[in-house]
Amino acid sequence: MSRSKHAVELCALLVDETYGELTSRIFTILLRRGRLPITLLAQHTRLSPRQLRHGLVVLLQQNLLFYHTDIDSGLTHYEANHDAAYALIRSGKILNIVEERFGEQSRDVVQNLLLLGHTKVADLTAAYEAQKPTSNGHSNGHSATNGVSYTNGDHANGIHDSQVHSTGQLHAILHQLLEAGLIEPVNQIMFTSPTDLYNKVEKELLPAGGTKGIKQKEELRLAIEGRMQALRDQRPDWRAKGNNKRPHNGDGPNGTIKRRRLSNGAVNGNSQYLDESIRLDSELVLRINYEKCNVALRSQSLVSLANQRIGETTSYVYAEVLRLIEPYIPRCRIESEKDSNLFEKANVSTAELSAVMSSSVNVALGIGKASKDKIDTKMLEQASGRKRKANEAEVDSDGDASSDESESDEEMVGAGDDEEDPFAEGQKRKSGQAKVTFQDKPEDRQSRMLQLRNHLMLLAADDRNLLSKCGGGGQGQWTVDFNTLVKHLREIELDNLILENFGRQGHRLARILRKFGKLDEKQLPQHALMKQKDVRTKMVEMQMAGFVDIQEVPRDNNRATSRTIFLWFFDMDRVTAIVLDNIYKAMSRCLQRLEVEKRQANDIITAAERSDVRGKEEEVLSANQMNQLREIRGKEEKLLAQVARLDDLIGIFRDF
Amino acid sequence: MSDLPPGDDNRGGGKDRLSSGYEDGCSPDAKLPRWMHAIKAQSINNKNNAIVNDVHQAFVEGYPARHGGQKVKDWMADAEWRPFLYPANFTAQNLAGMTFQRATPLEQLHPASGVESPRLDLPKPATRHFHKHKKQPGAKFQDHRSSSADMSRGGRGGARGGGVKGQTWDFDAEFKGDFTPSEKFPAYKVPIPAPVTEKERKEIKHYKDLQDQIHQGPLYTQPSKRDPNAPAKTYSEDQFNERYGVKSKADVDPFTGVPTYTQKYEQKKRVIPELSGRPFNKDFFPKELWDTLEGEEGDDVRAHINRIAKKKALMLSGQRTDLNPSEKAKALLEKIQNVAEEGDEDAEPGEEEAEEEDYDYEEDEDEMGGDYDGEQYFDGGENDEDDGDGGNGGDDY
Repeated sequence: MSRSKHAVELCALLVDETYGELTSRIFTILLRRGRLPITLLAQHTRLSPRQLRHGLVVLLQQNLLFYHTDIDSGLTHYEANHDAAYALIRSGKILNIVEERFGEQSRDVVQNLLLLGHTKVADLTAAYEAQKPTSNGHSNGHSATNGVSYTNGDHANGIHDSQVHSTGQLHAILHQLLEAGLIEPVNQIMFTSPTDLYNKVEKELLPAGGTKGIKQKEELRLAIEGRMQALRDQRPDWRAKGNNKRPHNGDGPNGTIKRRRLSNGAVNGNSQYLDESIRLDSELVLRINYEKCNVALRSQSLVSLANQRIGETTSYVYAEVLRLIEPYIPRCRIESEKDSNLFEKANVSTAELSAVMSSSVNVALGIGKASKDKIDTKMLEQASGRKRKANEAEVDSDGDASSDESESDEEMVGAGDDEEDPFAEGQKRKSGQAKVTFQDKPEDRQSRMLQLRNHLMLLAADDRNLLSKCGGGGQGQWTVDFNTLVKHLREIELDNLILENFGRQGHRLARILRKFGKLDEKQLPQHALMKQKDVRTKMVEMQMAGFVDIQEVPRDNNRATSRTIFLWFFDMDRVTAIVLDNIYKAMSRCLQRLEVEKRQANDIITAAERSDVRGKEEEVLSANQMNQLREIRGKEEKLLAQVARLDDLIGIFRDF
Repeated sequence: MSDLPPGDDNRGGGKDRLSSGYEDGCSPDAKLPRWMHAIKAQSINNKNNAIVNDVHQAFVEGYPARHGGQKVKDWMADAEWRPFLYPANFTAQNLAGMTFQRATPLEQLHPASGVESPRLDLPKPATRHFHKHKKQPGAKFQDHRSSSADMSRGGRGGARGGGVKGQTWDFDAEFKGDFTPSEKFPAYKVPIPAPVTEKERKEIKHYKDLQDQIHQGPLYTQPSKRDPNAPAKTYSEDQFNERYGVKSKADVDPFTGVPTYTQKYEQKKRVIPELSGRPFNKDFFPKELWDTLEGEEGDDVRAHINRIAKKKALMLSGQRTDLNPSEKAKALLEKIQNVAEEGDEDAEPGEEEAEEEDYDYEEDEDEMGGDYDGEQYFDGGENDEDDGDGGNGGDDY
C-alpha cells in the first residue's frame, strides 16, 4: 500500500534522523519506488554495491525492511516497512511506559533492544557481561516521580541503579517483558511483507479448479486472512525451555494476577521481586513488539481521558482495569474472527481488580460519600438500558449546547468537553476529597472493594462509555468497548481541531452535520441559528480545507440550479484521512526545522559532542557556549515535544 | 450528448462544464446568449463540423471568429454552400451579434478559471483539441482545487480568474483598477504550544538518549551532503542523488579544512556502517547479504589473505630454513593477523582511494628529489604529537 507524499517524507526523515544518511537514501528510494531488487536499487540510489549492502543490512537489522526471495529466480526484493519506520518516533514513549511499569532496568534492556534491532538472547547476555566492568549508566540521576502512575501513593524512591547486574536478572526481565508482550520472539514471517504473505498463502489455499463466484472468493479471502493471522501468531515458543521453576499452569487470570503482582513490585526498580532462576532459550531472537506497545499507548490516552472527565483516583482505577485487560489484546485493530473471540475474554471482575490494585492508591478518594446512594446499580442499569437513546440524546444536547453558545459566548472558552456529566462528579469530588483526605483509618477489604466498585460504576456511567458491565460474577464483570471509545476519542480531537481552525461557528456546523448526516443547505441556517450568508461563508471555508463537502441532487434532468438540492455532509473517514496527512506534514516540517536549527548551531553541537567534552559540558565549555548549548537544546525539546504531541494524534486517528 | 468543447485549455472545459451543468449546480444557461444553445444542440465536438467548432472556440477564447485564416464573413460565404454545417436556427444575424459586448465574459461564468490574454493565432485543428481535452483529469474538481489554492495563499492571486481584481474583458473607458498590492505578511497570531509537561520531558529524554546511543554506535552513518544548506526540495532522482556523494577537494571548507589538534576528539565521520564486531542472525537476512555480514566482502578478502599467507609461507620456508617450526608458525600467524587487520582498516573505499592518492603524490615528490618537503612539514609534526602525549592535550582547552 502506498502512502501519501507526506507520510513518505516523514518516514524518510525519521530514518535519516535515527540511522543516518546512507540508510535513509536507500529507504527513501524504496518508499518511493516500492519493492526493488538490489540491482535496481543501485541504479536508483547511485550507491556502490558495497555501500548498498551495508545499508540494507542495517535496515534489516532494525526491522525496517521486508524482503522476499523468489524461489525460482533467486532474486531478492526489498520493501520498506512503513509502520516500523514510523514507530521510530515512538521509541521515547515506549521507553517511558516500560520504565513506569517495570522499572529502570527493564527500560535499559528495552533501550538496548531498540539500539541493536533484533537480537539473540545469548548476544544480549554477552553484551551485558562485556559492559559490566565499564558500566556507565546513561540516566542515573532520575528522580522517580512517576508522572502518570501512582502519585498519591507512598514512594520510597531513591536513585536506582539502572544497570542490570546479573545474567539471571536479565533473563528475568526479558521474561517479564515477553510475558507482557512488549517484546516478541522473531521469526521469518516477520520479514515477509503482508502482500507477499497473502500471495504465498493464497497459492497454498487456492483450490485446484480456481474459485467461482463471489461467495467462493469471499470464503477464500477469509480463509487466507485466517491463515495469515495464524502464521503471524505462530511465534517461537519461549516459555517451555529452561529450568523454569515458576508454575506456569496459569494461562488464565490467576496466573496473570500473580505475575502482575510481581511486576507491580518491580515498578520501583527493586530487583528482589524478580525470580532470577528463569533461563530463556539463548538462541531466541527478540525484538520490540510495536503492536503491543500501541495497546499500552492507547491505554495511556484512555486513562488521561478518564482523568479529564472524572477524576484522578478514578483514572488510576481505570488504568489498572486496562492493564488487566491488556494481556488479552494482542493489537489495537481487531480484524479477524479469532481475535474478536480473544477479545470477548477480555474482562475483569471487581474482585480481581481489588486483589491487584496497588495499596498505594487510596480508592476512598475521588468520590464523595453523598454519591453512594445516587450512583447505584439501578441507575447504572437504566443508563446502560438507555445506552442507545443516550447516544443520540448526547448529540442532541450537543446541538442544544451549541445553540446556547451564541447567546453566552464567554462560556465557550473551554469547549473541548462539550457537555456536563449527568452525575456532575466534578463538584462532588471536590467536596468529597476535602472530607476524606484526613481519614487514615485502615480500610478493610470489603469497603475497599465497595469503593472500587463505585469508581467502576462512575466509569461505566460516563457518557463516553469508558467501561461497560458484562456480567455479575466476582462483584461484577467489566469490559471495555475499545472501538466506540476510540471513536469518541477521535471525535473529541476532531472537535478540538475544528474549533481551533474554524471557530465556534464552524465547530457548531460540523457537529450539526455529524448528527444529521447530509443536510440541505436551506436547513443548515435554521439548525445552526445563523444567517444564511454566514453559514455559506463558513461552509465554503471548511470545504476548502476539505472538512465538509457538498453533494448535488438534481430534481430533474435539466439540472438547473433552482431545481437542484445541495446537500452538505461531513464524512468522518475522509476528514480523518485529511487530518492525518496534515499531521504527517506538520511532523516532517518540525523535524526539518529541527535539522535547520541544529545546523545553525553546528559549531556548538560538535563542540559538545567531542569525546573530551561529552558528559562534562558544564566544566569544559565557557559560559557563552553553555548558553548556546542550552538554547539549542531548549529548541530541540520544544520541537520534539510538538512532534510527540502530533504523534499522539496519529495514534488516535490511525493506530488505536 | 458528448458536448466536450474543442478548447485545448481548461477555459473551454470550464465553459462547457457550465453550459452542460453536469457537475456544477449553478448552470448558467440563463446567462448564455440564446444562439449558443443552438450550437450546443448540434454536436460541436463533431470534428467534421469544423465551422461550428471554430465559432465556438472563437467565442470561448474571445477573438473574432476565423476559420482557416479566413475572415468570418469569408468563411460564412464559403459555408453557405454547405448548409448542413449550420445549426437549425443559426443565422448570419446571430453571428453578427457575436461581439464582445454581447458575449458573456468568461470570468463571470467561471470566475476561478485562468484567463490569458486573447490569443490571436490561428485556431488549432479541432481534432487535436479534442484529444487533448479528453486527457484532462477530472474537470469536476478543477474549480475547487484552484480556488482553494488561491485561498490558502491568504488571498494573494485570488483574483486570477478575473485578470485584474475581478475585472472583465468588457471594454470600460472609465476603468480604474485597484492595483494596490495585498498585504504580503498579514498579521497572524502565532499559536504558542502549551509548555512541555514532565512526562513529555521524560519521553523526550529517553528518545534523545536512544538517538544519541545509536549515533555513537557503529551502524550510524554521518551525513555526507555536499551542501547542507541546499534547499531540501529536489525535482528528480538525479538531483536528489547529486546532493550526496564523496566530497572532493573542491568542497573543502577552508575555515575548517586545516587540521587542528582538537579534531581528534571529534566524532569520526562514518560513511558506511561498521558491521564487523557484532553478531548477526544470518537466518533473518537474505542469502545475498551473507557475505556482507561476514565482514569485508568475506570471500574476496579471505582469498586475498590466503594468497598472501601462502606466499609468505613459501618465502619463509624458502629463505629461513633454520627457524624451528613453532617460530615459523608464529611468524606466519603474525603475518596473517597483520593482513587481516589491514583488511579491516580498509573499510572505507573513499579513504582507501585518498590514501592511494596521497601515497602516489609523496612518492612522486621523493622521486623528484625536492629538498624542501613542504608537504611533509605538518604531517611529520602532527605525527610526533600524536605519538607523544595525546592524552593530556585535552586539558588545555
